[in-house]
Amino acid sequence: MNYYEVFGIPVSYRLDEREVMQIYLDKQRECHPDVDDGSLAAHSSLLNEAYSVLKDPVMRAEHFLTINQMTIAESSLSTNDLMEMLDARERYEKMSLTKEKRDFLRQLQERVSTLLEPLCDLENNLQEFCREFARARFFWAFLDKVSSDVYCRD
Amino acid sequence: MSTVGIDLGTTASVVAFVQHGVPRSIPTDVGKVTTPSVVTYENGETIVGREAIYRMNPARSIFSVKRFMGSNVKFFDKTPEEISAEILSYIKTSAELQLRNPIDSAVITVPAHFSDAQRTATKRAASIANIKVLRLINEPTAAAIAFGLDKKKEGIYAIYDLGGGTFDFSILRLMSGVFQVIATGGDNSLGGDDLDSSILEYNLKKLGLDVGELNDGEQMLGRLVAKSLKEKLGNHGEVRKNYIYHNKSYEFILSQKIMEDVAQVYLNRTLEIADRVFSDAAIDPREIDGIVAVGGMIKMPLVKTSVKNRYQVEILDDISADEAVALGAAIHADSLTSKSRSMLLLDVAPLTLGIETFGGNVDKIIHRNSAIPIAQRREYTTYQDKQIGIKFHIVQGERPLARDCRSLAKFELNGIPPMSAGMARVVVEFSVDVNGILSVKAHEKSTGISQTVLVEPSSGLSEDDMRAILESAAKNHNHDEIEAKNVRLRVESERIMRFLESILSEMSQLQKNAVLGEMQNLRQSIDSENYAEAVEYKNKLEAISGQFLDEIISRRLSREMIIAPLSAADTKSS
Repeated sequence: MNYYEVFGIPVSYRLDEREVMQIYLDKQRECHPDVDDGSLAAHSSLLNEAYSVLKDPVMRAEHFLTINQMTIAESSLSTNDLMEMLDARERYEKMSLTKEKRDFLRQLQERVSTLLEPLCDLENNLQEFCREFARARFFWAFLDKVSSDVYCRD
Repeated sequence: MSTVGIDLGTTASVVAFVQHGVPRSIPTDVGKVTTPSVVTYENGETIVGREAIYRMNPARSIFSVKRFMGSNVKFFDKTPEEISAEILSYIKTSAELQLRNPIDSAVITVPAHFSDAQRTATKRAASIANIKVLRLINEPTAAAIAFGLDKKKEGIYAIYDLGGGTFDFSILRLMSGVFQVIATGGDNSLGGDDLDSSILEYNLKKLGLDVGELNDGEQMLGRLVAKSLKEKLGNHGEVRKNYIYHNKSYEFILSQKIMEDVAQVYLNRTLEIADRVFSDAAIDPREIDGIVAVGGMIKMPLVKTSVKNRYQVEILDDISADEAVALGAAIHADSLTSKSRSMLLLDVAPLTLGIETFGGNVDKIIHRNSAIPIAQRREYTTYQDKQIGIKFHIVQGERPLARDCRSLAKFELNGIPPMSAGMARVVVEFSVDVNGILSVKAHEKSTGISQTVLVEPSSGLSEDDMRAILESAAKNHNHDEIEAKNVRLRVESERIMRFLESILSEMSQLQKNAVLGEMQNLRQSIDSENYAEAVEYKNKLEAISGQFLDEIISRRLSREMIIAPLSAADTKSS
């Protein structure tokens, strides 16, 4: 499934978020089960699925690479990245206070955002794109774990 | 035929209706728009609302049945769905008398955090009450619709909805008729009821009594006394009320300080949930345009202050805390029936849905806060040679282990041809519809064997029970319409008059005269079959008695007379 096609936009990592949202809303106005008799429910559902991928920088990068038949390799991680992660994990495991964990989560979110930023300029260099995305994804996976930990704490 | 919006609340329910483009609540219980969600069974009769509180008795009354929706418990041999249906029938009938038009369909609201089982149970309650559910929508979303359309606001808003039994917190984007939920969170058993219990416990402890020593009736009464103290407190420094226990009169006290101490733990919980929703939405509280506060608990000044202090944003409370949810549901119902495209509601699935995998972990298939409707597929395979079936366990919740999540259904896909391990390709598809209800399909790719699973909540009702109830409901509604309308007006008028007659002795002379006067008018118009006039008199009678009925009920709670029948559970009250 090519989600860019669902939205009728060219395959590109860099997206105008407002434009994508507008397309999403315009299309939902036509086929959401509330306005349609329900016969387009499957399409409404597909739009939701596509939009959830396109609006999310990590899921979009994965989708972008799948379309371009590229896969990311963890081997592209540098020693520095591994050391940074090791250190982050260690710090996190020592934390007991919720507030501390929340602050840590926020820092981690910022770190992942910073790592994702350069991707927009690397669309024409897929090798480089893969390398940079592998780093972002590595930290994102940890972010995902921390955020569900914090969420399920009770 | 009319279409309405219904807020089926834990402690109170409200029906609203759009007329000439304007939503308004319909008076359904002695002239009031809120009907207490209380049911009392007495002498084969079902009593709902204020009269049910007045006649309450632990052996015959059910409060806050919504807390048990989707569960297996029964009260007096009735399931939570059936009891909820009694409440729905009551407010439907009252509303029909007001509208002079039968109601056939409704948008019914549920807490955003309601699970699949709770949603399905709500739908069943509606069908028992012979109401076609156009949509189930989430309570905070409904409140946002009422707020957004009324105030013509655009931007990002949070809805803080603290009711009698449930708490929801949602963040939405509002723009030109679009209501887009970004994230939601909540707790299905956190609300005003809990606060009442804490106020009761606090007072008992201070008096040297233990809540464990109280029987059901004494506890029920105690909670009602606590509730009325809570409602009376407002900005007063302190309020007091009598509580009779074992024929001895005690005094319950509630001051601002006590309230703060008691409420803190609950308010903190709501704020923790709200924090999580902000984090899920990846939105900083400072970025939002305001927090819309709704739900009965918002009437407590303390709640608003604590939300405001935490987030430092404007608290918008200029829509009715009690009615906002029903008004929003009515607006949505109106837009659905007119197929208007001026409004678009984009809601989300509140909880993660997944499948238990080897080792008891959860494979998350639909993530919380996914926009609905949504369908997601996942492929599984066999792990043994010649394996011909795969068992699936569907769970709902955020915890990583299946045993910590809510189990929704188990099913087995059989008939897979014997192949080597890992060769079969079983595709499982989860779909959540616009009501937030899940269905699951599974098929094996190479053979096309498929199975559809209806995720039915385990309920006290069997399929046959359900069919029997629905058939009898349909039969009861198959009267000639106008005749039915007038019969119902008669029955309802008789009922309200009988109730008021039974409490005449508790009214002041002035009240008594007013009530007796209107009752005479009502009786005359019914006897002369002047039904149009009868409606007018019935409304007038209800409006008059509604003004002092709550006070009578509250007085009764503090009096000894109710205690005698309560401690001897089954005896009929005087």
